[in-house]
Amino acid sequence: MSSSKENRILEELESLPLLIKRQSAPEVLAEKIMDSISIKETAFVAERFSFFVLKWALVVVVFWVIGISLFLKFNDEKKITVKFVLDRQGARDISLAGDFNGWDTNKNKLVRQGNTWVLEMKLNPGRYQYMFVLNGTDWVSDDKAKETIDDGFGRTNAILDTATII
Amino acid sequence: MNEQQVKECITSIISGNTDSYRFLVEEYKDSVYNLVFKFCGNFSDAEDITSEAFVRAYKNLHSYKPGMSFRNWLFSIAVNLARDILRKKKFKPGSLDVTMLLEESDVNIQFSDDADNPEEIVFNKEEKSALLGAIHALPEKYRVVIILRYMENMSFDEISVLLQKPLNSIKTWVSRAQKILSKKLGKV
Repeated sequence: MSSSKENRILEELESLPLLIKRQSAPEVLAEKIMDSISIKETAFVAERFSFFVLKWALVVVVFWVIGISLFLKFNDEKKITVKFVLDRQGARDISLAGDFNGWDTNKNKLVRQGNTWVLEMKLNPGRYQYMFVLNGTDWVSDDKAKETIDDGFGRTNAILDTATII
Repeated sequence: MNEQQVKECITSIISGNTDSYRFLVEEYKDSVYNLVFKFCGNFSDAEDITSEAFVRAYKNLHSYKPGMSFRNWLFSIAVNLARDILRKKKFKPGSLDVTMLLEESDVNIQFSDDADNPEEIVFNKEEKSALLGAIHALPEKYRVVIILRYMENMSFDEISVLLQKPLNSIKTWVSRAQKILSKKLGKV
């Protein structure tokens, strides 16, 4: 390209500002921008707040889970394993009811091992009253219990004192 | 608004006074809109891109370094945004109606390559359109530097900082763009 031709295109380019129409932004643009910022700012604050709440909720949950686990572990370590045994032939089903399970006849079932029915339970240290329940209806005292007490209905509750089995 | 006032305004915004941003918007909205319009050539896109550029600038205000003029910092955001959006829209430079960019009246320009016989050229609408059409048909990087250099009167240094490209690359692109334009406009 010759020098004069180069200069010519250069001059044409330099004349561009004269050829181009100067545009002005629409009147409403500033308002539109400020509105967008305000909306995004609100969303941002809400997002940050949600994140803040979520973060602390998560921290609380984690601490709660850890606390509960430690409590249960500690509590479990304090518990004493007690083995309940009843020799009974011909029973279909035997359960253990006592003040440790709210006298619920379905909660703790004994397992048959030949003619012997067995149940191992972990109990907090303490004194408990209990009875065996045969086939869901027949309340039977534990004749091997070291201590018993009248239940007020003509039957005898066995007493388990964990201090005596340690 | 001088750079010191801009700096004070930014400090105020960062410290929580959101409404101070309105001063910056009012001050620079026309120049950003005007620049963006040169890239996209339509009012709707120019408005959207300008608006989004200001929103992005607001969100990134903390990263603005006073070493660069605030106007050029805004321009860099707007140019990058315009390029991204036009790419996504599969914008074809040839499809631009360049007459939208032009002054209505003819323009008299005196070329001075021969000082003894100055040649005065009257640019008519077709000639102006041809020049702008050729610019808008340039590959993107050349088009960008030509717009910034000759339509926005920016220095090579400013363009280099704005586009974050080496100075020599900018000079090379401008030079190559000029050659392409000369060829297209039949001036070789």
